[in-house]
Amino acid sequence: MSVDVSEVELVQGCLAGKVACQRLFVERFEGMIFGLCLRMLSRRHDAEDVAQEVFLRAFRNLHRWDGERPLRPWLLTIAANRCRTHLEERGRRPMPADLQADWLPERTRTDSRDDAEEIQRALATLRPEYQQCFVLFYQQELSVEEVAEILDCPEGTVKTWLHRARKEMAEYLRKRGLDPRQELNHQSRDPKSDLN
Amino acid sequence: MTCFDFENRLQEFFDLRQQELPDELSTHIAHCPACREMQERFQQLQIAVEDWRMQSPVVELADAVLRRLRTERNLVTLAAQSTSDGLRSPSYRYSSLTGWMALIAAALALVIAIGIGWRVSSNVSFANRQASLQTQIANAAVNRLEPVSDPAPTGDRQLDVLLHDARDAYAALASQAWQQVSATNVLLPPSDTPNLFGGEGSTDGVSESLSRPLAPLGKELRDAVDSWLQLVFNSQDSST
Repeated sequence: MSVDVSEVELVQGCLAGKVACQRLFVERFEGMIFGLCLRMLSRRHDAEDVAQEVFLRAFRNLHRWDGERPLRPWLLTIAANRCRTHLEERGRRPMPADLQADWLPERTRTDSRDDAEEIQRALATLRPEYQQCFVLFYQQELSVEEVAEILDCPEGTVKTWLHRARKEMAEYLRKRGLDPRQELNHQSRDPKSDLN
Repeated sequence: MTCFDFENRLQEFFDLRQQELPDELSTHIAHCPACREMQERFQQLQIAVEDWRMQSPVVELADAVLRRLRTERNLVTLAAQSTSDGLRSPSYRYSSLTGWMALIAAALALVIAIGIGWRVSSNVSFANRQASLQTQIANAAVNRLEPVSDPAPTGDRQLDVLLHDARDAYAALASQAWQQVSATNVLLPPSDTPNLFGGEGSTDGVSESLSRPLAPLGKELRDAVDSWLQLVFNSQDSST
């Protein structure tokens, strides 16, 4: 099947039970869905489980999807809700210590990766609605308006949540000893100088 | 521009993903160290977030999702088949039978529970009624032992009647003994205690306390039985 098939055709194929369409559907959106789940849940295993569940729910409810609207926000809504539910359930359970830092695959350790890890740790300390907001805005690069539509709340609320999320995360990074001046200086250096 | 205004404008700057800090904000942080520090912290956060966003872990979910989807559809198909097969399905019959059996068992359990409850609730009054009834039987037995104008029974039947009356009288006396025990609040004598009616051979305090009021009654009964037997044998002798 052609990869450039439209969303409507893809959905129609899935509704008709075509396995090839279902596979293409998952492959097209798995990066986006898994990325959101992983950022929100911080655990790869949980993120894979929830992402699979998101696709299963999507397949079950594809007949409800409005073909006039894009598929991506519809899927992100399902994913954000599932992640939030999972986080709330997790909040009622103790968190095993050995599962706290497996959010990224093994790579060479770099300063960049350290920063990413710090952000992920800071994110995990936020309330679920702040996390949803932050991940949708920064990781999925959605606008405030789109985030508000997905979370089904006013734009003002999204702005407030984003602002609080930034403040809390900035405070977390400050307590973790990340010096903004040093970071900014490091960022403003010529990247080529590191190679010499 | 106040610091409050600066913070609001700074958030707007981030919300709109603007690249260059507006001049009025730059002017403010030039002479406000607190706001400058805040802006630097948010800027540093933005840089770290960019690194975080660029991390793109690889994942392949298609196989797992399609497998789960297939399993789910199989289950739905099986459920639909069992529903359409309806009454012909052995599992349905089995479950129906099990349901009826459970219903019958529940009804039986309810009846038994009600019966037990009734027996327990009426136990005290039943015991009292039984005691008075047995007393009446004993009195009747004693009265029947006296020679009356009724024609005397003959042969084995006479003996059966006699023993039956004696047994009733004994039961009535046993009931009276139990009431006596309850009234005097003493323990029942052990099973090897000498007879309750005699009193002669009992050295035990409990049996003495029982045998004393019962002894006359026992003697009276024994005398009545003896006289009745005598009467029966005499009548048999005279008839033969």
